[in-house]
Amino acid sequence: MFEHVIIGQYLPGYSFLHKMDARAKLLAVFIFIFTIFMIETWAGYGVLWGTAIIVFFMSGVPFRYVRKGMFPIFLLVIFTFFLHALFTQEGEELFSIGVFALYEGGVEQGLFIAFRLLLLVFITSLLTLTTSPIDLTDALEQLFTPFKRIGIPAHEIALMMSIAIRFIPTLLQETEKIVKAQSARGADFTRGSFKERSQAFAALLVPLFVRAFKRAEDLALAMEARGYNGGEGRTKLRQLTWRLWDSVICFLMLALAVLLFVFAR
Amino acid sequence: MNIRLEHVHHIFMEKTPFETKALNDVTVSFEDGSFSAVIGKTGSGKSTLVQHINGLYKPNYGSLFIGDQEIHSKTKRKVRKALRKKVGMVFQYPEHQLFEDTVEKDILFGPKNAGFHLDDMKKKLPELLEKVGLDESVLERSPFDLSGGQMRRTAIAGVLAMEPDVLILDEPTAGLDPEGQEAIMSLFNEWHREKRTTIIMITHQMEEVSRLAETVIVMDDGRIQMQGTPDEIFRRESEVRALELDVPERVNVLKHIEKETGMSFSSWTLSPKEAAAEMQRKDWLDKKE
Repeated sequence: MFEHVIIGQYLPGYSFLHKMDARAKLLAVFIFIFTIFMIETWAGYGVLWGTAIIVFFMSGVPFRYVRKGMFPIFLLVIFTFFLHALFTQEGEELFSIGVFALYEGGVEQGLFIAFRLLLLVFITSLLTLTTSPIDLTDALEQLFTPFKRIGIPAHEIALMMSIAIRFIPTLLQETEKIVKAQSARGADFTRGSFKERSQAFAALLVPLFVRAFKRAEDLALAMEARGYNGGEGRTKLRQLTWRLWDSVICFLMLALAVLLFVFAR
Repeated sequence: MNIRLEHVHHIFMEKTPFETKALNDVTVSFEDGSFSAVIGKTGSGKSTLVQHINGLYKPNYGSLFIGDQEIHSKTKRKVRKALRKKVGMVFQYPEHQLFEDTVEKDILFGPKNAGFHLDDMKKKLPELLEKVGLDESVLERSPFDLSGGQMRRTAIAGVLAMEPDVLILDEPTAGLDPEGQEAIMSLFNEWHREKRTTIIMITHQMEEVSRLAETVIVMDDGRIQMQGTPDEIFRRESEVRALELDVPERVNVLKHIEKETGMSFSSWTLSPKEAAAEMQRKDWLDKKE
């Protein structure tokens, strides 16, 4: 039922991108996203898309996975395109239907925003496709550690994230199990009147929540039994290693950002 | 209802790197009114197999026949859904599926979905409760206030209330204390004898297999490896052990007695009582000579 859901979409592999330090990948993607929002020229976007496509080829990820990751965002992209196209009244009027008029500037603006959104999703799916969720949270924790001084609980945030990620497949399995059990009793989750369906969903959600709370209790107990007391002095089984290449990639990304900022803003 | 699977293949996540063959060319049949056990180590495809029978899964290749209904890869949802009225399924830890605010409502959830007449059902409830070993006073209580064993009985009652022609049990006694296991098993045994319901049970309890099952299906790696009566299966002990399974204690005992005394039993899955009777009879025959 949920067999096609890939959590965090991570696809194991041995490409250059897979081997990069997760912190470097996060930093590079952060710089890239920042650049996306700074640049407002077509030339700049051409360069950014070019870079993204190079990164895609470095990742060795089959295109259908990227496409699958981007699919849900398509509706949003189309919606925002029309929003911008219809409500920006600049340049020459192309044509009009009733009260709606399409202007050249509007179409351009709409396309621009669409490309921007697609680029954002494209690059972030590449990040999640090539980085395991555990590495990602570890990287986040370490990148946030300097901000502990201003009261950001880096370890706790990372722990919460990794527990949440860890339990997504478990909850999905649980959901699948309960859906099956209730379907076996004749519940129908996809058809029927609103009343019937909402009752079917109660049959799913009540047991799911009961189980989730039970699991949370068990987990808390297990953590306490093993002496968990927060992040102080905690060592890691899986160490992230920052290599020269990681610095090079981050530097290249930064250089690209500066160049675009100067020449193609 | 006769159930027949013909060359059924089931593949999870076909055409992705995560592809796994859960069922590989499975051909098997279950006779009307029989009690069969499906055994095999974890991940051998037992659950996938039985979930085809009530239409939760459909085969990727091959087809199955339940009564005169054929199910194959292109069978519509509606047909598979209709199947669920005839084929009841008790999942592992069925108490996890309880959700209503009273036991009564929870038991009636299935019959209501199946379009049963609820007033008739309510009249039948006391009898059903007695069969599963619950007191009538629980009807108005919340299922979440019950003990583990009572919750399991409630969930089982919810499936039995639909009076299915075929009953599928997926490790119905897992996680219960010995007394509870015994009670649940004799409940199904009674039900089977009284209603002639076809029962297909997945279990890891070899004792249950030798005591209750008429036929045993041994699965490994998505294929059916052995099939026969419990006696036939457990006589091939080395093969059973090679599949990381065990033989029941009573088989060990009788086998040992045969080896030590030369006594030969009609079957290795005899109950202690039956075995003792056979030994007495042989004793008596020997003395007569």
